[in-house]
Amino acid sequence: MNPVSTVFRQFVFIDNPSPIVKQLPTVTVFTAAVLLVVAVPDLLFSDLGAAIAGMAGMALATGLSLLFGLKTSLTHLALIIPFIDLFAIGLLRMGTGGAISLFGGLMILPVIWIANQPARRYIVFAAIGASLALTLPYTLGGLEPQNSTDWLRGFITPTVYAIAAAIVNEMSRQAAGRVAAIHELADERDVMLRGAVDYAERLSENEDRLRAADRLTRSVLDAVTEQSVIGSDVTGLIDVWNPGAEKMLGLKPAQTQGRRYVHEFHVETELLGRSRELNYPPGETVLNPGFSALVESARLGKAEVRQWTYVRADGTTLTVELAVTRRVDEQGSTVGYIFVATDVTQALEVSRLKDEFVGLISHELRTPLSSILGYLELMRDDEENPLSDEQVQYLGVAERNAHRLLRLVGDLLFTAQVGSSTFSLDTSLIEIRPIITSSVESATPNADTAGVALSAKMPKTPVLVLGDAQRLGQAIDNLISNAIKFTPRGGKVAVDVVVEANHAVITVTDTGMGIPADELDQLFARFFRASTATRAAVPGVGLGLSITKAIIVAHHGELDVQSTVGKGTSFIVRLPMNESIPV
Amino acid sequence: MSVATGGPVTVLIVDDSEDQANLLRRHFEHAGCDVVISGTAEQALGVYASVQPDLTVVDLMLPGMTGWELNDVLSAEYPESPVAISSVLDVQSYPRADALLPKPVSRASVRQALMSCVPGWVAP
Repeated sequence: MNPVSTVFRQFVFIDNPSPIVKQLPTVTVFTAAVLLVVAVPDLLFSDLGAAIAGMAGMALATGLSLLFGLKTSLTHLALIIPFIDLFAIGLLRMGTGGAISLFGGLMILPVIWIANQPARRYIVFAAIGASLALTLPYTLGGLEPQNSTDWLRGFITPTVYAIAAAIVNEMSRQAAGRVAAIHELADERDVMLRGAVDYAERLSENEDRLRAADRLTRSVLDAVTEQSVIGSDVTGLIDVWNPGAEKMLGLKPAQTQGRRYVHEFHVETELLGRSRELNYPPGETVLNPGFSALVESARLGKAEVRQWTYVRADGTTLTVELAVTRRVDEQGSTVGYIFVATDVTQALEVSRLKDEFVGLISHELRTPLSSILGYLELMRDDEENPLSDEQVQYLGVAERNAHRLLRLVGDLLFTAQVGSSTFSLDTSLIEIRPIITSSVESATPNADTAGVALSAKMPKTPVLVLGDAQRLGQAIDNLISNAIKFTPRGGKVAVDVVVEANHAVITVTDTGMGIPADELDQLFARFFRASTATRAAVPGVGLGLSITKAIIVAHHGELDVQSTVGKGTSFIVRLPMNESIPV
Repeated sequence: MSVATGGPVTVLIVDDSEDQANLLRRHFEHAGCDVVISGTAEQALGVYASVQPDLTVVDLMLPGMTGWELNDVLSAEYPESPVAISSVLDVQSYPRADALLPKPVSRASVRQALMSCVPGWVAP
């Protein structure tokens, strides 16, 4: 029981006053009655013994009430007292004239005490007790009932007392019921209060945790100063603006959050151009087609990374690489977007400078080479001053090496272009077979010198693809020359062309030194040379395959390799045939 | 002088590299042409009227006005006069011209250019 309830029960006398208090009215009136008889000369004790027994009984009852009142462990026995009181009063009544006594009415006090219990049986006890007390003159006093009045006296008064007891009992029950209800409500209220306190505690804890999480997120976001992180709702209204965005675009969060739209920082024509590209997606907002184009991919659930132009507060522009992703709530519906932008102007500038540099270098390298080759040719073909056979041979060597150097410069330039994806194809509808035939023909002298048997097998019908004949030829040349280079004397190189599932499949298989399995996936990387090649001291820089792969990929094809060390290698080129070329 | 006036085929070579220009000169002279060399596009435009070339060979990488620009000017001002582009750069970068002479040039490629551009040229 909590403190509130205990105090309540201590001070409210409704349900359980101390026996002392309950006994007090009875003993007071009893004493007054006795004094009355003693004082008033007309009032006499008809039976002094009975009267004294009554006084003794009252004294006992009062003594017990004191005992029970003070010793709270015995309080439950207190109900004995009113019964003793009843008999004490009964005896006094007997001793002051019996039926004509003035003091019979005193019995009502203990009757009330007895009846004031919740259980109905106490009505009966009270009635019986009263009845017994009233019939004491007959039971103890030796009197005989004289007439029917005497008999009735034994019933009527107890009956009235019983009715009184019943009323009191009912009132007591109702009161007890009300008190019980109040206690119940009080208990309920206690439980609810505890519950409310608990809840408040948990709420406060959660709030703290939430605040800590928010602080952490904020601090992470604020620490990102080199990338711009902007958050918006589904219409593009900005709600997150990190220090990176402030630095990049020149506005403070207070100036943008809730006030500006994301698309205000883009170039209108760029947005509309993209919208046109995507065929005017409706998006979530009809008001701004530009914004719809910006977030279209993200809206459909696929994050998009593209280059865009940002417009700063002062009007200047910068190129950024922008990643747009979707924000969702717990139900999974879109509630906004996140825009993370990295300034790539410097990276683009570096890339441009690199391309310029490569272009310049390749020109600077090729110019003297072409002079070398040009004058070598003049010397070789000079009809007025013919050369000896030996001199022609020497010139031949010089020319071959100059050509090799020229080819290398070409490869380097091509590789650089591939790296910056600036090379272009001269595409038209072409037939594969003549390209293969020509590659095989030009590689045959080389194969003969190396002692390698070169063969080709092709279908009888034309094989058409959409592509650049020169570049494809370059790719096939490279595969064949590699095969010859890496195959020892007496080996074989076979070129096979078949049509399979609407693809032209060109396979170049050799019986050469092979490539280790763990190096297969790096094979197409720039400047990569297989360990088998370096070990066998086969000349090369490692550019050929990266160029070949780039060419095949640009034709929307695939280049695969299979190899076993010591047995041979197979390169498989798959090119989509005309009908299935993706646009 | 030019073929039109009864003289030999005159070729104007515009190239800032002496070696390359001389190489071209040798080839064209072997083919029976008269050759005039200009080191810059500006110089070439200056002598153009007096030289009246039957064929102009333009190198793309020139100091000052570039070969691309020179090609545009010549196409605009002398549309009838053929221009051949000669350069170490990839053929894809060449502008539209009457003939392409990628370097290193050979005797055959020079004669091929003459054959396609100058109807009056005859191999010696």
